[in-house]
This record gives sequence, structure tokens and C-alpha cells, in this order.
Amino acid sequence: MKEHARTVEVFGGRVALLGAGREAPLALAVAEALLRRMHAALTRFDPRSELCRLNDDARLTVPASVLVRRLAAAVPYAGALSGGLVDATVEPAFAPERTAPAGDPRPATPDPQRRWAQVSVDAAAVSRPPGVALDSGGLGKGLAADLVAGRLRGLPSYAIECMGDVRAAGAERTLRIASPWSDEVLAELPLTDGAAATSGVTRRGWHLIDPSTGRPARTGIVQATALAPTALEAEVRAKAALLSGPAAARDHLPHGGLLVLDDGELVSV
Amino acid sequence: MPQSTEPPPVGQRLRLVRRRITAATLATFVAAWLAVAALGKGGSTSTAQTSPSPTTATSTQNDGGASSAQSDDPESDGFGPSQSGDGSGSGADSGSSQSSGQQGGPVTTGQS
Repeated sequence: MKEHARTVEVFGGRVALLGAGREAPLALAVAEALLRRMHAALTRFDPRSELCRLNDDARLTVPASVLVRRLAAAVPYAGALSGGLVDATVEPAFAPERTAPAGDPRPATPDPQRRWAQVSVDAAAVSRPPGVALDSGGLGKGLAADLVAGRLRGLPSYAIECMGDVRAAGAERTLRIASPWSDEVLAELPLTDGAAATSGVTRRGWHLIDPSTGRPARTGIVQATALAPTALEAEVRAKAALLSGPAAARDHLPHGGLLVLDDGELVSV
Repeated sequence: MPQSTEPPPVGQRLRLVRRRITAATLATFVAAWLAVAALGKGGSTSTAQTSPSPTTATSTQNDGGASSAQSDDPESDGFGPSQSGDGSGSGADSGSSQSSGQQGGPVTTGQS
């Protein structure tokens, strides 16, 4: 079956949309509009964005749009799902480091303050302790892929590639997992209905944070790919697997995945 | 030929107004239809015939989506608030994700 394709430049990267069926062109155009709205609302790099204004707001409870509420709802979800390892309230105060953090690899551990658990959402507003900033980074990508999937679900088949996060349904596809060190394909998996996400430290530097220290984590895993029903869950599970280190990573990949260790060894889960 | 300066009778004016309303309605319909047709084919959309790709690896790990659907979402933009408050209700579509046995284009996951 013919699939229509559309690419959208948002979130500092490129989102690829695929959809089959007569209504696909219009559906993809609607999906693009949604992505652009998400970008405008959730970017951390524009102080006028709604997310930045929320993070600067001194009130405990702040009225928010549905997009910002969705992101805020994802924060405690990610924290609970990962045992506190994926903490979107941790705001890195440094640029990613190009070289590996010193010392032996060790698993990251949760922040005992559990600030992510203090974020809550109701029908119109977001509540969090003033001063606690929400980070749209990885969660925003997974959320975007899932929300776009909601827009495309009437099509016979569709797929979304959102800068490493994938969501697809309706057709048998090949899921390619990119190498952490080159543009080569490391492995291929069949994917029909579901999602996948990959986190790693070899492309953008050591930017994944150990919540307990606020510093870059070096756990012995350089890339983790997770499969899951939704892109948001896959995103959280990939990060949690990487942060937990080789010994515990399997616990965070109940739907399967692939790990790349420091020494290049591949571990299929 | 002398031209009459008298206004047309009421019946004739009513017919004229009716004709104009009909023409305007038709024109609006045609314009809307053309706009939808143009939007559907516009932008950077392209089509591609996807072909089967070889697969090499392990088992499929799909479970068909586990989150709540959004079709009942009352909000105008269709996203709505998180229904469970746990962030997991984001766009899953278990109701429409039946596999058709068709081959779709490959997708890639990797570090962004």
C-alpha cells in the first residue's frame, strides 16, 4: 500500500510522518500543525513558551493548556515507572560533557527528594512546588509521538519517527536500531503496533543525569533501546535502563530492547 | 430605444436576490471543496511505494497499545487532559491498531 510521507522540523530536529490511505495527506497536515503547536508550547529554548512561563511562575498552581498539562502529567508517570531514575524535574545546570565522567561506571540512583512526585495536574492547571522546573526534553518527544498517533489512528497504517522515538500501527515494518557510533544500522526488529525509543550518551555527550548527584551518569551502558506500547513509555524505559546499569537494565525492559555496553557488547533483552 | 428609469417590480427584484444567494452559496461550496483538495495535496507530502525489508532479529515485542483512547475527549483540540493523571493516556489507539498484514516503510530509532 502506498504511504504518504511528511517531514516536520521541530524540537530542534526532524520528525518524519508516514501514513497510508486516501485521507493520509490531510491527516499528516493536521499532525504537522499539532507538532508545531507542541513545539511552541513546550520548548525550553524560548522564554515566551508556555512551559518556560510555567517554570518561571512563583505560584503553586498555575493554569495551563492541555499540552502543558499532558507534559506535567508525564513527569510523575515517568518517575513512578522508573523508580525515580527518570526525573524530569532535574534541570541540568551544565552543558553535556564530551568526555566520560571520571571514575568507574556505577548505576544512577534516585533523588531522595522525589520532586517528581510533587507534580500534579487537574482539569485546568498544573501544581508543583514553586521553583521546581519541568524539563520537556525526552518526555516531550515520546509525548509528541503518542499525540500524533492519536491524530493518525483513523488511517489504515501510520508511523511516526520523532528524533529517536518511534510509534507505529497498522502495518508490518522493520524497526532499525542505529549504531551509537555511526550511521550504520545495528539491528533490525519487526514492528507492527507499538513503539520504541533509544537513549544514549555517544551522540550528544554525557547528558543523562544521575538524579541523586545532578551530574552526568556513567553506568556502563552507552545506548539503550526499549520497546513498549507507547512512545512515552518506551522513552522512559530506555532512559531508566541506561541509568540503572547493566545489572539492572533488564528490569526496565519488560517489552524487550537492546543494550550497547561500554565495550561495544550487544545485549538483547 | 428609450430606457426605463423605473425600478424593477418587487417580484423581479426578489428573483434577482434569490439568484445571487444561490450563486454565492455555490461559489462558497466550490471554493471550500477546492481548498480541501489543495490542502490534501499540498505541503511537503510525498508518496512512496514501500517494499518489504529483511528482518534479522528477535521476536516482535508488541502488545497493541495499552493506554486509553482519546475519541471521547471533550476538548476542542482533541488532546484533552490526562485521563488517569499518570501521563500514560497519551494517544494510544488500541481500538484502531489492528494489523492489516500490509508492509509499511521502515522506521529508525536512535539517539537524537
